[in-house]
Amino acid sequence: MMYDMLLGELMRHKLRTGLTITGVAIGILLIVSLGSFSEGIKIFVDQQLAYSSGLITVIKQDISFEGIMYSKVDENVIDELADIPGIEDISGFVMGTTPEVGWFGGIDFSKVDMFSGFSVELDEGRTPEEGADEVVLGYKAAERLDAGVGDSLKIGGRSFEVVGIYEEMGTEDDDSVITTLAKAQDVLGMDGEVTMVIIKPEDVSEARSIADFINDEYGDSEEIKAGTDEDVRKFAEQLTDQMSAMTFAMGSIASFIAGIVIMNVMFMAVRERRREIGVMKAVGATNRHILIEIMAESLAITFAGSVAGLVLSVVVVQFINGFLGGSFTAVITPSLALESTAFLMAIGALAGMAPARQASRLNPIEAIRYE
Amino acid sequence: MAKRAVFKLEKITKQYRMGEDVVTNALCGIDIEIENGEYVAIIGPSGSGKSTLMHIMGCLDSPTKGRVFIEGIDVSKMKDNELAVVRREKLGFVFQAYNLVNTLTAVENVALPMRFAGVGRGEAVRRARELLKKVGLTDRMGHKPNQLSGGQQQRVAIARSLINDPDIILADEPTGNLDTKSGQEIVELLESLNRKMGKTIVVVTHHLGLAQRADRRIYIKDGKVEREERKASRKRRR
Ligand SMILES: Nc1ncnc2c1ncn2[C@@H]1O[C@H](COP(=O)(O)OP(=O)(O)OP(=O)(O)O)[C@@H](O)[C@H]1O
Ligand SMILES: [Mg+2]
Repeated sequence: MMYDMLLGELMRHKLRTGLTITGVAIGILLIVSLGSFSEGIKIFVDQQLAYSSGLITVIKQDISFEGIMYSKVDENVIDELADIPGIEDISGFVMGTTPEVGWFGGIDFSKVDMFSGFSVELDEGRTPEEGADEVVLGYKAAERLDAGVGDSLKIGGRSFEVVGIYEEMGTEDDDSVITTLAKAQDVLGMDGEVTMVIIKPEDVSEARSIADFINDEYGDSEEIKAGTDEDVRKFAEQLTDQMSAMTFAMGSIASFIAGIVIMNVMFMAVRERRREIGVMKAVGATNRHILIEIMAESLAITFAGSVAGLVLSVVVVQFINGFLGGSFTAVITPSLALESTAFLMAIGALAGMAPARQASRLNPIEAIRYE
Repeated sequence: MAKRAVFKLEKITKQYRMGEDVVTNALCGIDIEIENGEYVAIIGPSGSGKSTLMHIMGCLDSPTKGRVFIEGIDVSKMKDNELAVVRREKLGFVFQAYNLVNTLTAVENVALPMRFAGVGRGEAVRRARELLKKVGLTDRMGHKPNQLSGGQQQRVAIARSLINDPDIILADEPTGNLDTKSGQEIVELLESLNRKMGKTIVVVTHHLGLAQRADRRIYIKDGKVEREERKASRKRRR
């Protein structure tokens, strides 16, 4: 209620206030940065699923979703699987990185349409022709490599001509350099192999049974593993659940420590202000006035710490995202920021309660005597 | 001014209990009545119970037994929060050790009881300035207590005791920490509050000058009223 006084008290002990604020800020930083990974994964997975939804993916048997880059599937499998009833379309693609251009992939351009939700439009130019050393760039890759239609790029020691630029797709393909399947296999040293086979079922509800059939019939012999987007979703959920659990655990520990720090500081503040609090009560402050005053201080410190922590989180997350290089980004969503601040404020309120009660119950005469 | 009792103490006792069977009888049956507009000095040796009595009258403490009426209202059974309201609305308290809030300026200290009464900062500060002017501290408004002399701090405390315009000022050895000259100024200030503003003043003092100017002197010894002296007439003195 007496904001004028509040600020003065907090400013009087700049170092102590600063340290407490730092403690709270670290708590927020931990929660928010870990949480931003969970959020980032969710968004990433949703993006992935947006254009693989309803599709069956086939990868190497002992590879998991996160190791997908190391998947290698024999090209001939595509022809074998194509005969399975209920399959509308099938295509393989190659994906990898090269030191010169980063993300580099090869697809069958005649089948671009089979990726539902992947209605890719060229912003400029055309798609590469079979057998030609030509590439098409995602818009981000074009910016990153500073290349346009007509320019040539060194990939795998060979010179490729840029013949087209894609419009924004909103997936990591934006940052990719793409050529024909055969050329990519050549450059990445994956002759006769693809990274992944994608199957579009005639009926989406059959995806599961087709995937099961593939696993039963070809799984061991071809060392492949078929999955639906449901599997990917499940895996992603598992991953985000694990992240959330970790965020919760770390966040709880950090908040608990922050709470103890706040409580300790507030007890200290009350102890050294016994006389002042006594004086205030002697001149007519009610228990509630004192209670509110101490609670307000506790909340003010927590709030300042939360804001500092959020700012810190933005900086740290941006820094980490810079490291990750754009394929995956940690995201601080507004609800994450709000919830973690609210959580810490609740901790601040809890931590302030005991000191505030103690202060409000001080006997004015004894407090005044105390010198 | 109509003579009515602003204070009525009935058989007040106060015991301090320390441990099982160590009991100090600080007050043992005090009956005092103080009328509106009176200027009363309470005198007695150290440890006789003067401060204890003042704290009970000032609603800072409650008696072990007996009843306290302030302007006819029994405060001896009041709860903490009700007592806080009585303290800030009906009473002003001046302490020997000034008891200002060190982190606040003179103006803010004076405004404090008014702020607790729910008055906004602007209004409270305006009134605080007026009062500081009255006690002669026009050029010390923004000073913190540690930038003020003892006499100045005590004047701030007196201004603070006046901010909610109470009828009663209680002062426990207000000149106890002051040299003769500043003590004299405080004495005169308190006297003018009584004479010019009609405040009821109860002051504990060893200060002879202060005691002699009071309308009535109550001598306390061993927690009892030993005797009283009444000034014959206020007018005759002038
Ligand atoms: N909180 C307390 N606990 C125990 N005993 C107390 C307490 N406060 C006062 N006393 C005792 O009560 C008696 C009266 O104390 P009080 O402070 O009222 O005396 P006083 O007349 O104001 O003395 P002085 O002139 O030195 O200020 C003393 O014997 C004192 O020791
Ligand atoms: Mg005393």
